[in-house]
Amino acid sequence: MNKLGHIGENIAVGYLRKHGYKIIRRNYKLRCGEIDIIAKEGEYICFIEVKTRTSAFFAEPYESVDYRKQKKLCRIAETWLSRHEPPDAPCRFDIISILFNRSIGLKEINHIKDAFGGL
Amino acid sequence: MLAKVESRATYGIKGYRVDVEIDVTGGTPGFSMVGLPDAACRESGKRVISAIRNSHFSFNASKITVNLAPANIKKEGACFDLAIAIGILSAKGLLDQESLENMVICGELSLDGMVRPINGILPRAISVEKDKTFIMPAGNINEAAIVKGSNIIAIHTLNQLVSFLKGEIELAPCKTNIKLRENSDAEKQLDFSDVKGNQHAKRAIEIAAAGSHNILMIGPPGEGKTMLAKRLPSIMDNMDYDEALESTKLHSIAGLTKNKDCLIAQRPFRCIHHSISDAGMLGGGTSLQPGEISMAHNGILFLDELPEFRRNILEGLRQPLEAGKILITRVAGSVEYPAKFMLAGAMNPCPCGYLTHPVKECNCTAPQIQRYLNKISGPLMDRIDIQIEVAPLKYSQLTDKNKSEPSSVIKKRVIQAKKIQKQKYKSTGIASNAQLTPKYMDKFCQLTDEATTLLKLAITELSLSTRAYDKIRKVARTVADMDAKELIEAVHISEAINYRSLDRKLWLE
Repeated sequence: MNKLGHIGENIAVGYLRKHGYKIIRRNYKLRCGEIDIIAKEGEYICFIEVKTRTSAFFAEPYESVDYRKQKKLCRIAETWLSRHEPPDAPCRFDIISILFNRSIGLKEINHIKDAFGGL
Repeated sequence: MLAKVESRATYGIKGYRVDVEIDVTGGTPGFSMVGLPDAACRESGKRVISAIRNSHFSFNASKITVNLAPANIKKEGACFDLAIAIGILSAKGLLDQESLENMVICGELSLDGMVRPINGILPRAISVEKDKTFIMPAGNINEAAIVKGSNIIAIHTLNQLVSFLKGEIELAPCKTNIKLRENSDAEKQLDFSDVKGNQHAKRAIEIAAAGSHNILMIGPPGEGKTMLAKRLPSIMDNMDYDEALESTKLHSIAGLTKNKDCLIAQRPFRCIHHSISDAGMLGGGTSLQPGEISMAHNGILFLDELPEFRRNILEGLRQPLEAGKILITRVAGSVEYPAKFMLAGAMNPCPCGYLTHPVKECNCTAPQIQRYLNKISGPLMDRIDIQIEVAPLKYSQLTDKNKSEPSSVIKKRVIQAKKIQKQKYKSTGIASNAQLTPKYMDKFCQLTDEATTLLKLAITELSLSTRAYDKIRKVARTVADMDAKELIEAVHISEAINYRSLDRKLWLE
């Protein structure tokens, strides 16, 4: 398992709990991919993709969630919804973008709510 | 939640009702649109959501499905943006569905929530029932205000419309404003007083304008054929309300009326280059747009250098010339556009152009000339009532300081002749002498005995065809109308015979 990614996900879970999110599931895996965190905020089910980088020199972490990745996440989310929730449950996709450096620790955390959604 | 908003689209020159249905539900967020939208239409989702957010309405993720009913007709353009935005707000519970009763909404949105003008407002406004309110972009107001007895509200921004629907602000319906558009300065500058000499050609053009006869000018290059034709609009009578409304509708669909005021009163004059395509001339394309012949409806279609046009384009003019309309049928459907125009053409007599020149030598061979003239088929030539030669001026005419007759004087005579025709053909559905059918010809084109003798002589001596016989009578009818005479006299007949240059083949040998 990717170590940096794992650290980032732990940071994200802590951040979400602090902001009143209820974590439903971590690392929901299907053959076609995985959703890092599924959480609930109020009535909304949030599918959260966590991206961690050591530096934003090349690109911000969230920039790597491209159209292909978004499509993939949508598909997995639909599967999860069909198994666990009524089909019209309100939901959204978030991205948590983390900059983490081993020497100085957490540098930046950026939570983008409703980041994409087939629009 | 489900919301329904009524809107309008255009098909041909008619508007029809489109119901925009919006369903906002939970589930994975997304925007999907059904009901055969084209690319511009499908993109409206992105515009609408940005516009809603930038108008400071709360908008959270949800699954949005939009249906444009009737679902079997293709929808074009961004004109449903405003209706979709209002539908989404209503489905989200930010607006009462009751407040949308009897409202018809059309308009394009910009990302900041401003409402942009759209094409084809006039046919849409006409199709809105009198007991409904038509909400449309403020940029289109001049055009929509033409429609009599309609209840129209002009909107600048999405926010403004929402406040209006909530009843927070009052917006007064626009007043009907049937002001005829003034001619632009450039158009005013073209006047027949600038054209020296060429009395014969000027007279022919005057008659063509008075009877809406198709006209062809033949002559060497640089002798004023184009100059004469460009001054045709300055002597044409103005359109009446019904004609103007129809022409404005066509211009509205083609998007030529934006930011201009009101009705087009002056007859359209379309000067066309010979590189034009089939779809450009006759109409068509993927969205079945009207072509140049429809833009010239009730006006003049001027084809300079007639033999240079591709043959299929010229032949394509034959049916519309006869029927006054064109039916365009493509995969996307079929649309009928009106195309009642007067054809004006200009051409050289041969490839080098100097065949009819009194001094200059023509260096074309006989087959070359034949080939050049053959580009215009017999049936098309048959539909051209007046064919005249434009001759070079003499030096004394060129330097003549006296101004020629101004357009305003000629225009008065044309209007007078048109008035006579209108009265005469009141119950027949014919608008001008050019449209006389054989059925009415004997009734309205009665000749004096002297004229009958002359026409008989002309037919036998010049060996004119049957079709030429009819054309001469039609043109003579107009000449007689210019003189305000009931019967066609010998002078009128002899003048009309003069306008059959090609039939007489005086210069073709």
